[in-house]
Amino acid sequence: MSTTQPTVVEVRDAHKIYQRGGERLDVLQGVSLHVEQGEFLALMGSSGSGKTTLLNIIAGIDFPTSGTVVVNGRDISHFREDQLSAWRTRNIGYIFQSFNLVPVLTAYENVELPLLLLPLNRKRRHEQVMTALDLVGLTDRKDHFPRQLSGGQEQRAAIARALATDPPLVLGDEPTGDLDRVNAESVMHLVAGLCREFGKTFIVVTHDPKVASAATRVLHMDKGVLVAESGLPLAEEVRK
Amino acid sequence: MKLLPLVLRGIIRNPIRAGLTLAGVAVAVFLFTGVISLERGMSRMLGISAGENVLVVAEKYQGCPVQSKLPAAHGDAIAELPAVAAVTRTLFVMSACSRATDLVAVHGIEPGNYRDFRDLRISDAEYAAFSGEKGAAIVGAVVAQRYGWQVGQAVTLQELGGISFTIRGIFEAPGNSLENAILVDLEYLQLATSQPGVVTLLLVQPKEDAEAGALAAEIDALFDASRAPSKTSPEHAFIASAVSGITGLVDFSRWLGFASLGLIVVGVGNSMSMSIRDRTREIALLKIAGFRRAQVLRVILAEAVASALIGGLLGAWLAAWAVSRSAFSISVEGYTIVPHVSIELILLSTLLAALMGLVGSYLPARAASRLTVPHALREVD
Repeated sequence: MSTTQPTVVEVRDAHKIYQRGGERLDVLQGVSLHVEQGEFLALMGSSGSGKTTLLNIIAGIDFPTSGTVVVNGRDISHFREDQLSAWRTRNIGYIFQSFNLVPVLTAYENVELPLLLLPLNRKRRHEQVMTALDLVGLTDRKDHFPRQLSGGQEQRAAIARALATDPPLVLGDEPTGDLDRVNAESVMHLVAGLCREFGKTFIVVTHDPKVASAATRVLHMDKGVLVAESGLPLAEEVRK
Repeated sequence: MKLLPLVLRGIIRNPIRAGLTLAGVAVAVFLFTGVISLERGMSRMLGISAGENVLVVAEKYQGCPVQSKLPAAHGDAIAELPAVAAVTRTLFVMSACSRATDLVAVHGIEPGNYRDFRDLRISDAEYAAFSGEKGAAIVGAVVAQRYGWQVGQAVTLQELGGISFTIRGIFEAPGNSLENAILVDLEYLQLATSQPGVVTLLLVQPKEDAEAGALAAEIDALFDASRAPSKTSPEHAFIASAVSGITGLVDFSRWLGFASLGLIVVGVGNSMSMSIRDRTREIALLKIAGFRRAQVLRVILAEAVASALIGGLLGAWLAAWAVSRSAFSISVEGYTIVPHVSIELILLSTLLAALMGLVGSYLPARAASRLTVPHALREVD
């Protein structure tokens, strides 16, 4: 792993505790993580291992109970909710496993959504939307509604939306989980290629070893802690 | 403003949900506008008088003004009083044109000075044609529109023993219910209804320096010992007293109107609650995209208000259309209340609908704006 790149994500001793009724759930138990610019990091682990919670904390859509989260040089762990919202628009692109798009909006309008929150005029917004759609090869489908798109096309539109504001960090929570193998590979190659080309950092939560194989680094979680870290050699093993 | 297209797309592209919400609001506003139009009609009727000082002379001991019967000669005696500027005599009869609630008043008037008492908007040529012909009539614009009557048309009212007249003009009388009346010559109506020499009311215009109360007392004293004693009162008070029996009903209908506005609060609130439950994932997507609480709140409130505004406008317009097409009117003691929907009432109804939509959707919108992304995603998954 190169150490010459700037740090994009720095998580220090993050804990997350949920109280459900009288039960205490220690979802994250002192996770520390360091991710550099341009890295493609895969987070793997069984269900309930805490990987999605870690991803949400990095995205600023959940808060750590304790610990520090620094993204792009800013400690977001003490941001208020509205501060996080404004920060997220410029700094984070997020892709879910499914239902990524607002059903009543076209692909174009879905991609435009985060841009509405930035001080951009209509022409500039249009340029950014078209650029993002062009990157994922969906310009000819821009006026289609989600129900008129295939699963792979929906995920491409979601990637376009995640990239539309040109954020330094893109996060994916099982982004290929609902796709067939061909589409899953296509989507992952697309994301990996875009991140490489534009210097984005990409962190993805996945169960799929094929997805992890595209990553530059793979971290394994279990019961709220990072238990193993693998670089490309692990990915090579998975591919074999 | 940049979020406005998002709001409109949320309405237009959910046609079933939006259609049901709009329809609910439209029905409630239709009811509200309809009942308030009755109250407005009553206010217009109370504005019938041409001047604050006009006095009405009716038969004493007669509870029902339309049944008042006074000798026409009383008018001559009143005209000789030094404080009187002018007197005009009127005879009222009511006619149901097609059914009991479809009432028009037929007023026998003295064309020579009636316009000194009433603000009739009609061409001088038409009024002159009416004045010069005993069997002629001028009809209010509301009556003419309701029955499709035209100038030159001959009309026979079977309900009034076959009285016939030829329409020589159509008048407007903004602000009062005369527009729902037919005006014919007094003597002609007296003969047609077999009431020669009888009038219903006398309208008296005091001189400018006269004190109306003192003049009223003087008039009543004049006939106190006669076979037809009179009761004189200011016209506003006279009309208010005449229609007092229906005031309670109109007040009650106003409360019904406000209750129908309450339905908008409940209906829009319920619709938005269900909508937000269905769109939990969508709200999570907005928040992940960077929408702040206040922005989510505004988007949802704007959607509810826009729906209520459109539904309100539709309902108010439908009520205006229905009222204009309907022959419905209420006759009280010789005065006719015709529901009236003005542009101002349409705007008021629409704005109230929007306000009720805002109130009804506030709590669901607030709950949606406070939804955290992990919570929203858990609810869906």
